[in-house]
Amino acid sequence: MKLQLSPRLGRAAVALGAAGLLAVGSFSSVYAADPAAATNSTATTAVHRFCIPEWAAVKAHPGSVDALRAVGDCEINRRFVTLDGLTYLVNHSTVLSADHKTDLLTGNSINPASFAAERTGLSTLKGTIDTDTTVGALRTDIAKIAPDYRVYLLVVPKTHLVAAADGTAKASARFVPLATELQNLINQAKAGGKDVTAAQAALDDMNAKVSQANGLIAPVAGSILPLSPTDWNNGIAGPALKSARSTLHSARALLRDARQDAHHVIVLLGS
Amino acid sequence: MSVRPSLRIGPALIGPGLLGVALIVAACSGSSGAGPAANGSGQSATSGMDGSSVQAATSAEPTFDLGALLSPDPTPDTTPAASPAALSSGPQATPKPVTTAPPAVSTSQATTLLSQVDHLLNEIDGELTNADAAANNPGE
Repeated sequence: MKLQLSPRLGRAAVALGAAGLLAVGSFSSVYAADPAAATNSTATTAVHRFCIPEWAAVKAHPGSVDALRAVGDCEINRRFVTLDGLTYLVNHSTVLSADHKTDLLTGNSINPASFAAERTGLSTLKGTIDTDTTVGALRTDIAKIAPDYRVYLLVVPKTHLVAAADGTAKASARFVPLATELQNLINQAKAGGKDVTAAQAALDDMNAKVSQANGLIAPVAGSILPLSPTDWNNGIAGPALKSARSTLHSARALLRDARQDAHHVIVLLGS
Repeated sequence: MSVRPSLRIGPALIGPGLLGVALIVAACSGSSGAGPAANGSGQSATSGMDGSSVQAATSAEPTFDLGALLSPDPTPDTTPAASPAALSSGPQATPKPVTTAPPAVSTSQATTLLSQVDHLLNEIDGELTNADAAANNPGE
């Protein structure tokens, strides 16, 4: 059979292929960790992928020990890749505090689902799976990969929420010198005879919103860092993460409004 | 230093000339103000109440002194220019009070601080987007 493409389709295929390569490259650049940080990743793959072929093989050969072991290895490996990606993000984050970086990476006696703890546990489980010789033992051990570690349901959102909380706190702190500067400008303008009523009202509103945001974000990181995979399985972690996310969205909205207030003050004083 | 050639008109032409000049003066007085300055010629003319004029020429472009034509002794080259004090002796329109706005304060530092806030807010947006995506992830 001869496959013929029109020139236009050919160009489109080339473009799609290039886009796909770029997408894979960007994804792997994010989730392929620092070489130094990728301690427990296996050498088989550094790019996250779902284990669809392995699961298909198990479905085709349900009694195959090799097929089940391949599923176990693949599921654990992709969690390593994800943990490596998170490690890279944490190490390069400009918003996470130093303490929270340590909490996420190593636990620091606060976070039971630290990247280090997850890697250690998954490495041990992988060793067990690699030495299992029966289908029954493999099924039991493979079934532990998700509930005992909760990489995707707990660790990933926890990491981003702690980073968002720290980023919100950092942004909120930036409003302090901004408020001081704006108040100075208002005082200067007032001394020069300018009507600063609207500017002062906007600045007061900005300060009130920042204060409100501070009150919201203060307990967030401390409430989600101690969450464990067991907390997820018991129905505690899910609502806690959801509440933290909602709180951070509210704080973000307050800071967005505060930012608009600051901009309004600048426009009023600069005119 | 200005070059000011004189335009001398004989007696027979003074009658019709005066009429034409009067028309020209009327037209010029209606449009006095921004004319000379707006065309960038670098000259300005101030008409005195007695019909004389004070030229503040800054270029060598020849001009015709219409005010001198109307004077009894049309010898503008030898007539000393009227002093500003003399110009201010007559009644003048009261200038409108100028309301000066307070000087705008410099907001550059505040703008810089605001841009830093913007940068952090963008970082928060990125993390929240990732957290939202993780929450919607059907994984385990």
